[in-house]
Amino acid sequence: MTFRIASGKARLDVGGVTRFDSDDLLLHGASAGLSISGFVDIPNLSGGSGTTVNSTTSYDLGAVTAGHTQLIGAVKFNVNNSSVALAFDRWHMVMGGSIIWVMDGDPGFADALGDNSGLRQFVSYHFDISAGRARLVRRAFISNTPLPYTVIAHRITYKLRSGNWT
Amino acid sequence: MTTMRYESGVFSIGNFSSAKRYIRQVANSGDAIMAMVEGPSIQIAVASGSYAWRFECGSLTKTSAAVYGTPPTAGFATDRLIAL
Repeated sequence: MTFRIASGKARLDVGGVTRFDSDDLLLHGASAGLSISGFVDIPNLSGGSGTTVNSTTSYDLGAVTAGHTQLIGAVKFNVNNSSVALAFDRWHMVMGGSIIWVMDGDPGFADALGDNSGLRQFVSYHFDISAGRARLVRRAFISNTPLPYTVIAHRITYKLRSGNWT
Repeated sequence: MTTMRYESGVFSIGNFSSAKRYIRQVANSGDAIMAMVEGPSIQIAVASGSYAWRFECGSLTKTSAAVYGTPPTAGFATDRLIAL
């Protein structure tokens, strides 16, 4: 282990791996920041069969502590319709980035298998902070496929904390 | 009173200990092992109609035949280089 203080900075190396550099930034305020929890009910989203959906939708989740830039926490997606989808009922860590909910190809024809080619339907979500507000943002795209295409209603439950890097 | 110690190969001061691993945004990019992203990391951009799209993931893109690959604009995602 080496610990060096030089040029106004301290650096700690253990086994060749830097464990601490005084120039590093730490994410903090995560526990002291406001707890942001609740759920958003997303209704059916239909397209295809003559209609293209190309939308970006923001869902306001409330205020965050001033200066905070990052949301971390846990999220759970629920489809309360076991006849059309798996009741996906588990918590997942969210450390930033996108959550892909739908990524699908061409649905083909009603009475035959299609080739499922290309990227024709896409729904993703991400959490971010904009103007001091926590947001859930949905990016949705449903192409003008020959058949109707519906993204079934679902509930997104979240437990988040905000923080910043300093 | 905060005590600074260096014993048995462990350096500690207050709650900090070299025996622990902390999530931190590294000053030296060579120390990074992952990126934590603020905002979206994966997106789709639709150029026109229902067929010309671009799938975006950082600087990488996958396009439909009608659209050529162009990296997402700056600010699409903010990567935080992280070490543990």
